[in-house]
Amino acid sequence: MRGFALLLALLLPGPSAWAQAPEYRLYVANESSDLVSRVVFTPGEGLAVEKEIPVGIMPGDNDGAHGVSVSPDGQYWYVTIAHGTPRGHLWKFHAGPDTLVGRTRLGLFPATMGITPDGQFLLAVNFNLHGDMVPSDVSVVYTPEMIEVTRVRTCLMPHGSRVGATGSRHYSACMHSDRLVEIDLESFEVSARFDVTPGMEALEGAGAGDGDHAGHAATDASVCSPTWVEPGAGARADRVVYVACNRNQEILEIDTERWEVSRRFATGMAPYNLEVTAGGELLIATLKGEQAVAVFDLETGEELGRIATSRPVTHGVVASPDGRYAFVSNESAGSVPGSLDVIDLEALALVDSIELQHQSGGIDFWSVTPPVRGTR
Amino acid sequence: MTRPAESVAVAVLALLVASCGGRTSRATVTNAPPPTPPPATETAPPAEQPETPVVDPAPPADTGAAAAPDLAVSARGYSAAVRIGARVVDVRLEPAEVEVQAGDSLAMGEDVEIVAYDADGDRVAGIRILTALDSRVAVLEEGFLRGVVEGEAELRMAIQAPPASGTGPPEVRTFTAPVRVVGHPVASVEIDDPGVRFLTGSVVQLRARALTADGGERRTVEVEWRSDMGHLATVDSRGFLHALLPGEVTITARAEGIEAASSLEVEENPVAAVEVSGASRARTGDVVRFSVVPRDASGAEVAGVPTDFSVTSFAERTNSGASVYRDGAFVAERPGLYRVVANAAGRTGQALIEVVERGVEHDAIVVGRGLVSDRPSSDLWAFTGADGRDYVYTGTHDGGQRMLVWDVTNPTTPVLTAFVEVDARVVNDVKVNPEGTLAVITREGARDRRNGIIVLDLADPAHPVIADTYIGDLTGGVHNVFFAGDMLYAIHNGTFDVHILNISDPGRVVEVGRWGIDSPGKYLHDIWVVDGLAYVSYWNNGVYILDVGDGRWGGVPAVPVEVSHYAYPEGNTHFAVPYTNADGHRYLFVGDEIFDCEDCVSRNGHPGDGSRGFVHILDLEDPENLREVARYEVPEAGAHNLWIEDDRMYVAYYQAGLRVVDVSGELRGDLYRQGREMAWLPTGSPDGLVPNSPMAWGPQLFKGNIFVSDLNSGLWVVRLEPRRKAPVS
Repeated sequence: MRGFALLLALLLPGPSAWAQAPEYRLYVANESSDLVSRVVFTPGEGLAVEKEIPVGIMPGDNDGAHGVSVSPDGQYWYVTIAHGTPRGHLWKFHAGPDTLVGRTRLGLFPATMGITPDGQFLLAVNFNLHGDMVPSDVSVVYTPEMIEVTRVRTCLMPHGSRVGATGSRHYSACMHSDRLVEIDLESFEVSARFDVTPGMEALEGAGAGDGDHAGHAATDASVCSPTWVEPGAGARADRVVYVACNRNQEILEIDTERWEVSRRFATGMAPYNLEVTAGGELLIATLKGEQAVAVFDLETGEELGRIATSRPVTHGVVASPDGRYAFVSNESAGSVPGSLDVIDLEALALVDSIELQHQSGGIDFWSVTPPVRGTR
Repeated sequence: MTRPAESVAVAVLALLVASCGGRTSRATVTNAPPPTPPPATETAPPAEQPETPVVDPAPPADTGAAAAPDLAVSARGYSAAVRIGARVVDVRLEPAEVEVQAGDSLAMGEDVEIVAYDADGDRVAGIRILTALDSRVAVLEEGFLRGVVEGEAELRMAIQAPPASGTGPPEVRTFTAPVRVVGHPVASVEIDDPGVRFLTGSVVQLRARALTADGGERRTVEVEWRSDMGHLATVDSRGFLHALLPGEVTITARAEGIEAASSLEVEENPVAAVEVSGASRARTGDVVRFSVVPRDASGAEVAGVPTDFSVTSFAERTNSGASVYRDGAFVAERPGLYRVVANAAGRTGQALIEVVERGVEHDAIVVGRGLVSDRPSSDLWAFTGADGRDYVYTGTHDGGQRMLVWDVTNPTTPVLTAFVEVDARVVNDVKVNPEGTLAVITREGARDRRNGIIVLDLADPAHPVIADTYIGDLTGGVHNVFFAGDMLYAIHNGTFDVHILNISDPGRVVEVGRWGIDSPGKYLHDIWVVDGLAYVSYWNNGVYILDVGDGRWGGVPAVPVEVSHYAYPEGNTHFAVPYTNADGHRYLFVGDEIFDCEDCVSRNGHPGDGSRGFVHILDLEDPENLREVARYEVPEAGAHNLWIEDDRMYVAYYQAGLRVVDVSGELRGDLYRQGREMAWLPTGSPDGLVPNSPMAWGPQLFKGNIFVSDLNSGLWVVRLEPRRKAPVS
């Protein structure tokens, strides 16, 4: 019996462990430094950069670490190397040791990624930011072998890439086609195209193509220019998605069962990336043109607050799984490095900030230790 | 072309067409299951079982893929397509050997089928097969397999199937199939006249050219040779004719069923002696021309005799080396005594040549430095400003944002007089016009991702001011530029075309032309313009020469005309600059920049340390017919920018620092191994951005000094001084 008690004492965390403050860890890509920063945030202590992982291969030609995504089980993280020669790559790392596992080539300017809940498939949009304005596609990568198994042609300048909660649907936005595109992950075919042009929001017919809309006037009010799509969570999981209309300053809530706009959220200038908290209560939007983040209550539709970020060109946002904090990357400009901000979602206030490397953009949450509700 | 319409094939075809999004209307499979989400966990409830057009999954077969548990039971939670996938042990293309002509396309599902097989060799229908192919050789787009250039590619195919355990998420199994891209059919074959006589005892290499209908040459096509009089002359598979006995012989060359014949006469060999002449003494790296005079028994010269050469060394140690080429050009890498043997129709003659050290070693003396350790440095340009003082402008990388202005009138003490800060994270290139009145700097990484170029007014060259910001269609960033008259040629990262800008009014830059190749996956890197010819470095597509005002090929500055292009297996063509040396030899020096290779091993984990690549030297006497004749290759390092003047090549060789190479006279072989390297300087610095890590970026000779920019340490000013050694006679 004494032996059992001793064993129990060894296995159970001691009083100090119970009292330990959670440590939140994230990865942030710095596109113009070709470095990925691993950052830890400890409430009460603040932010610290734990490691900077070099990526890319050509020091003479900026390779462009653009998007970062962590696998659902937290074992791996992925970064898109966007600039390419000319095609970009996807790199896979072991999370923690941050050692390279594998690479595979994708299309032109691979940007954001979505990963299926089982971690097997990663879908990266080939943004084709600077090439000819021709329809581009979404690369589907089988992650255990790191091979691209197919590409799904979607639209002009696909951006934002997210997989719904059940893993049956993928969503991406089309910056230059003014569309939301849904891919059926059973067949890996486009299953729906939804026009997000202001005033013309509707599901498109089966004959809808992958090109530009005819007759679109390129004024801010007349185009959505969607930059992000974020599926709903909690009670709204697999029922709605949120689309950031970068040009006409609003976020659309689109009901993907009825295929109609169910709500609109007016924002500040240039909403860019979106995040819904794990429980589905809050919607957080980076406002790239306003150096701020807007937080919406998804129950009431009310904007709870708009919080200024530490540096301009506010880019990516991810919420901690417990819904307590939002982490926001800021690109900044020129030789001024980017930064990472922590926003307390209860106080709706910026609580800490840390300087990273140049053009901090892609961001994803890795882990919380010790685990808190809903975390890995 | 559609294959027989058996029901299973039709199902597969329909799936393929659907999967590839072909140009026909979207096909569906009769009774195909509606999409269902894959089970997220082992306990996911079984999906509703739809009827399927195929029988229940087959019993386990004797392969790993089919040796799963009883999937008929355990795989019930999967959709039909995934369950059926469990039976698949192989996926193949039909026809098995897929061949497509460069420039043509095959319709997947019509010209090419993808068929899944079970362990019994039976087709498996109702399965979704994913496909991907995107290479320099071929691409798969919108349901069409398109050949790009001749070569081999690999089509990837994948299916989803239940895991071996029968529970959990479906697994992906991958398969591959080769795809061969061929040139257009051979329309004619021509046998070149070797220009020699076929004398008994001689071996003559014949060459046949397989031509397409449009006159293009198929260089990789296999040519079969045949002699109709094998007792008089044979010809082997490589085209070498062995002349045996006098008489008339017809030689036939055959490629893809197209033949050409050439009649020739084998003659009695009159050669009795062979005289070989050439210099008896040379330095390493000197190209010595040996000539051969075959004579008959009477001492008369015999014309038209095929000759070739070989060389041997008398050295007992292994540190010797020399080559002699078919045209009699001899070059040695190491000092020593060599015997050059000439073979003239089976008779031989010889000559001796003594090779001594080249003796061009110099010392590279650092006379000044402009340390930059807070940001990486990039390209540079040295010039004399309107105020009569000397300047070097340097760019910056990786968040650099600036062009730095150095007054180098006193080269021992570069003085940073100003910097120009722009909205960019990379200022890769800096160029100043010949008059010294304008500069252009390139932008990459602008805040709003709209990059373009910046034009600087150099009225006060110590403090240049921005005259114009031009973006136009250059949003993707500009990597390099070059001035030529009123034009500025800009390398655009987005289109990977050369954008031609009229910059005669610096405040109103206008794009007046554009040129680029039509090749998927093209990547453009640099341009250099000299005397109306532009030399464009197009990465894996090689170097292109354009007429941009020379006029011989009809080109004008805004409307280039392609003169020729040359690609080599190493690819990564990064930089090309022409040069005519004091002896009148005209060459094109082409650098490749390789970072992603198996040998690209970093010394200290810093990504830049793994660079590889060398300088290819092409004979430019005839710009329409480029030939690679020599190279300069520093082992375990990577070539970057270079400058050539006064028969000296200055190479910024990344981690190998600054290299200075003697490029006088004729060039053959590997200059690095021939003692032509005059000096080198490791441009690492303990106080650099990365301490003690040379990453030489670009050199320029200016008023007797070599200015070098280094990524990690900024600006270096170097002077060459002869090393004190005994003179070479």
